[in-house]
Amino acid sequence: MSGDRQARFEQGTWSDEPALLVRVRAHDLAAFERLYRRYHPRLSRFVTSLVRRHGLVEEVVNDTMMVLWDKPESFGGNSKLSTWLFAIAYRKAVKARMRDDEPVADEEAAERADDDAAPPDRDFGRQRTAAILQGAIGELSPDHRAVVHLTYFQEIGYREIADILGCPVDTVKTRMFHARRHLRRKLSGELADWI
Amino acid sequence: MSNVIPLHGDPHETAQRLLPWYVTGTLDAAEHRLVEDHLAHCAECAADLAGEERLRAEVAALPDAPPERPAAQWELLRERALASAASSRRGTSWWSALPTGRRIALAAASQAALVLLGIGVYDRLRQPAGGDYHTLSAPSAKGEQGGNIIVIFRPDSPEQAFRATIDAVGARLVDGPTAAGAYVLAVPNGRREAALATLRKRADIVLAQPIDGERAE
Repeated sequence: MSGDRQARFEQGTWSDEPALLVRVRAHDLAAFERLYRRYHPRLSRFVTSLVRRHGLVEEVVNDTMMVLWDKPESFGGNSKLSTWLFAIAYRKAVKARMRDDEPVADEEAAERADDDAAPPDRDFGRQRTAAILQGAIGELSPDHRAVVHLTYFQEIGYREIADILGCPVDTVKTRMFHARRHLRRKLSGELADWI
Repeated sequence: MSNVIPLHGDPHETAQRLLPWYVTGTLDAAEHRLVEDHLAHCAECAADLAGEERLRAEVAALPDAPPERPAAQWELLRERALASAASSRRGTSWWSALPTGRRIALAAASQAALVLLGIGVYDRLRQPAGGDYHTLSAPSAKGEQGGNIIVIFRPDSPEQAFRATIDAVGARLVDGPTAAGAYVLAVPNGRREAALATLRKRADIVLAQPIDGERAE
């Protein structure tokens, strides 16, 4: 979430959510669709950081949204709706990953990184960096990837991440510490000018 | 990587561990001030801050894989939602009914619940076109097992691959395509998990899900 987007949220751009939730409780499909289209991109990207097969990503996202549709009363309002949805998506992704017997590390991403580790070329520097970074992230465990994703891409605070992942806040900080160290090590040769 | 390293109140260590969230502006006021005060006189952390900002920017800028057939995904979810709403009114399995047309209205969902209770109109509902709802997971009039898996094939899948996939899991085609392009398959209940696992690994399958008995949590 960009700073601008975060500011819009805090200013109440999404202040329609309580009303939408009331309508969802009454099985108003239009309200459900609005929340689906709002959260589908964020949930999809988050789940993609946990499971790799695209069909499985959509399955987890849709199953997550169905919890909102089937049991809207289970959202007590003690957290943001996004936190609640991310937490459900995380649990479902973990189960799906175990059921689907996915490899822990993203071996394809690591291979892509190796393939792209060609001699430096200024014209392709940015793509190179992105490829190496993707490979390095792919080498992390899913739980470490989740923390990196929720921190850097979703821009969620560590306490909220702990709520989503169902772990202590110190675990979130430790995972992030090790993940950053791994990413910096992998990128140190490529980006020595800024790491 | 899973060992937890406790913090002991060392400002340098604390600042180091809070840097990612300092960069994203998600710390509370006290933590933000703590990191800021430390950065003012710690050259190491100040240098790390610059790297942290670049790392965050690079990760946030990584390309995202576009969702596959987003319109179809919503249509599929819409059908699930309508069927679930209808079944919850009946107090039966959440996927015991599926809509077949894009134009179906919410009003039809409540009608469907009543219609499904009437045995006399059951045969009409089993027609592939024209009816608003039919019980895709219900047993057939011949006593055959109803559908218990829903699948979406890749749009470019040839018919031969389509048949081979169904044969590979010992399934029977029960219905489809639905409005979302999905097909309903029936496999013996004891083999459903294995069939789902096989289907999900096939390249010509976009989605394979159970359609009864596995209610979302």
